[in-house]
Amino acid sequence: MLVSKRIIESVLPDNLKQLIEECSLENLNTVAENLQLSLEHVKNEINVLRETSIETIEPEIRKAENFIDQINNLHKQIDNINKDLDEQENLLKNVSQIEEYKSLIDNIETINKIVIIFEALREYELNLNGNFFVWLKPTQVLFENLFFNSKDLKYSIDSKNFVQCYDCLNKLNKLTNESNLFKTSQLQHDINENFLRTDEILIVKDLKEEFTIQRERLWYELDLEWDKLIQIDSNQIQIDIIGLNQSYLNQLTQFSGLKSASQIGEINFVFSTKLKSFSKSLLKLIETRIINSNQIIQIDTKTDSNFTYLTFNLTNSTTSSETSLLLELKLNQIITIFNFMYKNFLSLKVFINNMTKNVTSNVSLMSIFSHVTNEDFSKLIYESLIVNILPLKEYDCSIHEKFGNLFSQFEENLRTIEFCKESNKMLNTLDNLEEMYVRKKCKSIMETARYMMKNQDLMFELVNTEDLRINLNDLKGNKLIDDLKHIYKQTQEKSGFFKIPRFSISKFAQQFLNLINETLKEASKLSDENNKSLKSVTLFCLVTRNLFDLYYSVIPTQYSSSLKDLPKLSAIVFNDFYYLSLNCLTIGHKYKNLIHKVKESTVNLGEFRYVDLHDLISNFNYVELAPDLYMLGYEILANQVQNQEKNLIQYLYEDCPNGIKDISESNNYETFKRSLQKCIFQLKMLSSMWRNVLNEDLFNVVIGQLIDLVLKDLVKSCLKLEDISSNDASYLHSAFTVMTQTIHDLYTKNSASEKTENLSNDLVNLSLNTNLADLEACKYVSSWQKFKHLLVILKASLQEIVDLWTDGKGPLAMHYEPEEIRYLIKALFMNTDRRQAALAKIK
Amino acid sequence: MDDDILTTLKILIIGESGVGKSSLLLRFTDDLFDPQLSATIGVDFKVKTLNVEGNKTKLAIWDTAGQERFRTLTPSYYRGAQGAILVYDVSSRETFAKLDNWLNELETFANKPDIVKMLVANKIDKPNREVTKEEGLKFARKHSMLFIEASAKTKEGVEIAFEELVEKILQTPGLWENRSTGLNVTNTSSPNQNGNCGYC
Repeated sequence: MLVSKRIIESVLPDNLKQLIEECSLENLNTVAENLQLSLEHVKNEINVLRETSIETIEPEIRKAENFIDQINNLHKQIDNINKDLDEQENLLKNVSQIEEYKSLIDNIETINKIVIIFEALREYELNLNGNFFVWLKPTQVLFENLFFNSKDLKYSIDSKNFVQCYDCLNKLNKLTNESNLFKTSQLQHDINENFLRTDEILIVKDLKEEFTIQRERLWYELDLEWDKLIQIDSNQIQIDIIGLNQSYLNQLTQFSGLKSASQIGEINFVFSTKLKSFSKSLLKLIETRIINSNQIIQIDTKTDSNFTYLTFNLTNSTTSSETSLLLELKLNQIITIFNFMYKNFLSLKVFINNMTKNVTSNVSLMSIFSHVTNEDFSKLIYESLIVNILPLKEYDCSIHEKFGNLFSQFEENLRTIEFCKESNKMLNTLDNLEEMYVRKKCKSIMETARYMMKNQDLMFELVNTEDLRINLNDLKGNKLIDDLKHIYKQTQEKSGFFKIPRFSISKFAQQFLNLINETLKEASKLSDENNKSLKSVTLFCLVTRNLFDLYYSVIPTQYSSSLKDLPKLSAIVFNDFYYLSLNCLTIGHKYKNLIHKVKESTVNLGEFRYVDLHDLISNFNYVELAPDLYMLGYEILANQVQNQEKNLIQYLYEDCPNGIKDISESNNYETFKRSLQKCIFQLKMLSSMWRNVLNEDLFNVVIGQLIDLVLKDLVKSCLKLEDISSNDASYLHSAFTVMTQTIHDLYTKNSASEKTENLSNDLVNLSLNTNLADLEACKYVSSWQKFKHLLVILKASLQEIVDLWTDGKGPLAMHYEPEEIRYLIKALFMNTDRRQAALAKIK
Repeated sequence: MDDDILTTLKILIIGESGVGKSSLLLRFTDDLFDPQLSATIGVDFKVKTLNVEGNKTKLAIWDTAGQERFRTLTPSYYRGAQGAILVYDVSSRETFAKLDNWLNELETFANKPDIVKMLVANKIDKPNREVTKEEGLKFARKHSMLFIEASAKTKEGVEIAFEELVEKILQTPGLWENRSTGLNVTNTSSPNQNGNCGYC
């Protein structure tokens, strides 16, 4: 109660609280009224709140109801699906029964087909061979008995009833090809080729197999018969006229639907294969006896009771030098052969089957022959006959017209015998006559080069480059040449500019370069005469590049063994390579107009479509070949020099492994001298071989290098000796003097000749040759002075050695290190005060 | 004996062929050099000790030995040379005209910058003189060379030519080295003013 009162009080307005506290009736009434009003007020508020709450809750309830409805729907759907699944399951149970049914139907169909086949076989009375049905399986034995036991062999290949046999086989072929016997269209398509298809019934496979065997047998027999009718050998063509009249050739039609090598394009013909081999033989005969023959052949016909012949006999007359006459003769001979063949054999009409149109027609054997051989025949005429007949010396434009007339007549003749129906095809080819000539010429050039490379005699015959220089005074002509002469004269006086160094090359290299120059000259002439000849000109230029490449590749291989064994050949080949490389540098300039045209040709000609070739032509030059050519030649010579270095060192030590040690004892001196003589002999031999081959400077360098090797080795050996007795020194001096004399001789022979011209005669105390040789040796043998001074030291007194040193200002100091001189003094002289004093001065 | 030698000098003799270079050398060194040695390696090098104003100097004298005919003198020939004697033949103007070439070659290859040069007019005993003394003197003056006229045949002027050259070298600072100390020594005495010789 107290709580209620407090609560009431807490919500009462202040004036009511006051009235309650002042307890009077009036106050109480007033309170009651107020309370009543308050109660009403509270009630209203509660109503308002309740309504508000209901509005909030109601949508949520509705949502929950919808959700329950959806779940119920799903339940129903699941039930339906389950129901469907049950139904499907029931259906599946029936499938196996259906398959069994289908299989049954298949079997029935198969049996139907077999029945149809056997009915057909019976209908056609087809029985080729007694063993025919061995292949049939036991299940079909019933049918075998039913239809065929009583049948005998009616026709046989062995009895040569080819026409009837062919009919029989044709029927069998048609039977197996019947479309309604097979399930699929694909099967129909490949019917005769795929015997082992799994979806075919067995008897059909067997029948097709039998058909193939019999067909091949028949074809084989027919081919034998053909060979009896016509025979071609290298001297004659023989045709059996009687046999041909009784022949079956014109009565046979090819089996339909065949797809094999027996076809000729779209044409199906019984003798396709035979005709192909026959055509090859005939063309081969024409090629060997007429086209490739350099002799005139007499062609005759003769006939006896059974056969007619075309014979080929050699005559004594030589071939005509006039190209068009020779061509005319050969074309006429070809026509003679064709006429003979047409008249006696190829005019026969035979049946062919056009596979695309599926029609059978009757045409002459010649037209099929033409169809078979057209491509090969054209090749024979254009790649062989014309090319063979074209002269190699130079292209003559007028032959184009002559050839044109001859070929028009030739084609006309061929058309009258039903060969070559397409007109002017050959004539169009004649537009390339010039190119054909150029290709032939290029081939011939390469062959000539190869032949030359094999000729060893040419390699050893020498030509001096001096003789190859063009004498400018011989050139007559325009101002340009005069200017050139002027410049040449000026430069020649000042230096060796523009001069090819003097050395010897092989006759082969000279001829090889001539070949290149002649080719380029012909190319230049061709390009000057006809601006349209760009392709021919380019071919010519390319072949010259090929010649350089050929040289680069072949020579080192062809002569690899000789190049090792023959020092002279190494020098010649080096010179050849050097000379070719020098020419590579100038040849482009010599033919600059031509090269310019060739470079342009890549823009105008689509023929050179290969990327490499296109690049080669657009950057056409010879200069880029020069370094490789030179380097290869250099390698060859360098290898030879290396070999010789090995030989020299071997000669020095093979007999005296101790070298110059204790040379004064027993036979040491004689042995060493003999070794040294071997080296000297080898050096002299090399010198005699190389002197007139190599350029003088190079000769000096190469020989100098070899001499230097020996001298260095001798000096080195001396500098290793710990003790040199006076006897030793004397022997060494004697042995080494032989070497110095040899070197003088080697360098005297070629130095004395030319350099003496401008010398005054009053030279004092000088032996001219000796000094010139000495100078040459100084120039090319780096250890020459050192060696010479070693000789002096071996004979010198202590004082003389010291004088030659002269505080490092004498000549010894130029060639020796102080240590070396000190070592030599210690080896040569006994340990005395004088030696100590001398050693002290060498520093 | 060698201990009192002040220094060793490298002297070159150059000039056209036939002007008498070897003759000059032989004349100067004749009595001092081993003939066997010269026979062995040619007349291209000789040694002579010379006393110039109390200083003993050893000369290593190099002759071209005919190599000049082929223009094959190597740089090593010139290397280290302190003095050079250029010789021409007074009876051949051509040898005088070629002096320019020799000077040019000397200056190209000589590695000492102050190399002392002496021009020797040889063969003055010959009657058919083509080059006058004045011309020679003028050329020497133009190229700062010592000049002397000489005859190897009559000995005239030969020895004095070498002496003058050595004296001048010894007077040139930095051109030579004392053998014992390695220091540069400058001789203060003045050159001998001979009638045939003068520093131009």
